[in-house]
Amino acid sequence: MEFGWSAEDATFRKEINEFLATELIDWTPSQRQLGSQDNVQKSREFNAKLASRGWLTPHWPTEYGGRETSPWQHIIMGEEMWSVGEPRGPQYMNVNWIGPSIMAHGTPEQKREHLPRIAAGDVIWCQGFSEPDAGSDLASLRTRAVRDGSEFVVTGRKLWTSYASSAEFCYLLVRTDPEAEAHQGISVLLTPTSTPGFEIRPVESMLGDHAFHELVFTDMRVPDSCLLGPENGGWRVIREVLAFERVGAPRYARAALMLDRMVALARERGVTDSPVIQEHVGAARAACEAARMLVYRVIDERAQGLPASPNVYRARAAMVQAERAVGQVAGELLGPEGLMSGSLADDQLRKSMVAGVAAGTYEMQLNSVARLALKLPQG
Amino acid sequence: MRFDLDDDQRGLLDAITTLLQRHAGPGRMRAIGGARPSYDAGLEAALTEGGYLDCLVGPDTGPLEAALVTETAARFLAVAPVGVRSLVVPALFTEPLPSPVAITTHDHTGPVRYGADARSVIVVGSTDVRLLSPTPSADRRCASDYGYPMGTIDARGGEVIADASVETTLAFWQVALAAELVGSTTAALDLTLNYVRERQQFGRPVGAFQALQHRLAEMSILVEGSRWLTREAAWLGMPVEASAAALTHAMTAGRRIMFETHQMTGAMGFTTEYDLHLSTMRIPALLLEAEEMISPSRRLAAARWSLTSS
Repeated sequence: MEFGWSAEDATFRKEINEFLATELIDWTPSQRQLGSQDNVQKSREFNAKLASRGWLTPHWPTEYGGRETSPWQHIIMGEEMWSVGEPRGPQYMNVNWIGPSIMAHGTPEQKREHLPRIAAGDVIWCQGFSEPDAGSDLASLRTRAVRDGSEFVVTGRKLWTSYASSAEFCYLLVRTDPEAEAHQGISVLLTPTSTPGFEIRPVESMLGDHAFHELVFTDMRVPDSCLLGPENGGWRVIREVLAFERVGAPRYARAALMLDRMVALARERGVTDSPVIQEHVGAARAACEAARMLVYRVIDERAQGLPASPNVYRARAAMVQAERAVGQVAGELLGPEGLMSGSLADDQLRKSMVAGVAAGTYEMQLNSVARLALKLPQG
Repeated sequence: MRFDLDDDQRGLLDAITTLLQRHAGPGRMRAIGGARPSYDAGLEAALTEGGYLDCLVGPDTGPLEAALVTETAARFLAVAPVGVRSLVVPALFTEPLPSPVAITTHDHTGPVRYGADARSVIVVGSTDVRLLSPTPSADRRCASDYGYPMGTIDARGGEVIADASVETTLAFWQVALAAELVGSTTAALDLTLNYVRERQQFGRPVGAFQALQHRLAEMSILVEGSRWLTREAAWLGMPVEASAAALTHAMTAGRRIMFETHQMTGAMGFTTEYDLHLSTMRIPALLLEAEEMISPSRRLAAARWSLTSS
């Protein structure tokens, strides 16, 4: 047991920091612009620069455009990116789990088509998971894909899809066997969003423009060359994906950054003399740090080649707790000004509110901790 | 970065676990007074003899091993000042001090752990750290059911410890307390998990109810977060910010676990026959000791953002 960084990893972090310091001088991210066209365009340009340095997918195998660095460099990259507001935009999804999922289950053609583009940073994906009646209970999804020769005919709806209006592809979950048990009849289709019958409607929300979309599929014909993994065997494919997704984004780094910024602002205004506020900001910082260590524990398991463990769910839930702890002190630190649209407190509050819903709800993580880590009996 | 124990660390922990299973644990604590125990001089002697309390400055060990020893001893309810012996004394002195050793602050009032038994007392002041060498006295013993032998101390006088920094001593003390909280909360949570898996109501184990499952999951997340923050702070050599962060989080875990484990264990948890109180009653004592001088979360705020109060 030891908690030091290798010289190689420390150098990697330093180089990224230096790069970011020059690249992002004028970049001030806002939660409300997350999926805006402007932001997505900026992230495309930024990702191309990262890719040219081999930094978009450093942990990938060399045959797919990576450098086979350790999972630690992946999380270092994530921390540094989230510490400045995640300028990669939607790319972190591609890099974290869409790419690895295609590596694990894709056909040679699928790998050739998708992986170089993801590694080069010039493609955006969205994830077609949730539906109007399938949220936490994802396996109850009903978007139907009926085989017709070498094609699937897809009909149904997806909801809450981020980045859909900018995406070229959708990692789409469909039901290919309605007779099978819920988890058995699901398949994954790597679907171009330009496919006729693929309709994208924005859903207005308090999370800002373009944060959510509804996808409507009407007799959409998708060639079976888009099928990822076995037909009707998609659940196993996405279970692996979800394990990656849960700790892929080091949200504690962003929460810690927001806390630093808000404290700096509050200190200028003399509000931080209050012992009560000091207590609260200290506890929020500790929550961010605890989440960091629980994520590191998962990365260590990955670095050692161990299978995914229930520690993934602890890490994810701890990140939600950290986001909320920072969200709770936001108002105390910034006062009524925090009610102004686009203020730091406003940003953090929204981020905290959504943290426990996106990428698997907080309650689903707790269920998994209870069942898999604590071995509590099923209800 | 590695989260698993290396061979040496595993050997150390296996050995101390064997010793603690024999010389500590709920049975031993009951035998020496339960929640109002006597100082376990025999246990401290056995730990000293085995070299377990010298890890901080050992040839092949360091602060991390000292913290692991402290955490493990707390999990086994050791009634000896293992945290102070492991993490504070070797940082301040090259020679052993007369045992047991207590630690307190210059303006402390009320009971101190091992206060009546102490032959050595480290007193952390606002500008210096002093050493007192009192004579143990039963007259100073306090009636207290908070899991440690409690006694009062007259913290005046003594000798200033040369080169001892207040900041550093506090940081080492904080990591010792964090490790003790982690050990105590782990013991309480483990016992409660066993209880809710077995205890049947409404035809099923109470641990099958989601109302309990989510709270237990949250508790385990707090304890695990505290455990790794404490170990990391120790490994880093106990910097002020990391030490304060570990203790801050361990206190959050402690506050939650003290009440929740008793809530879930029901009336059984309050009986002296059941082991739960042996670990939970220690938590308030550790929380109050952690608030000495300045609260850890404010120390964290001061270290990170230079926040102070006028």
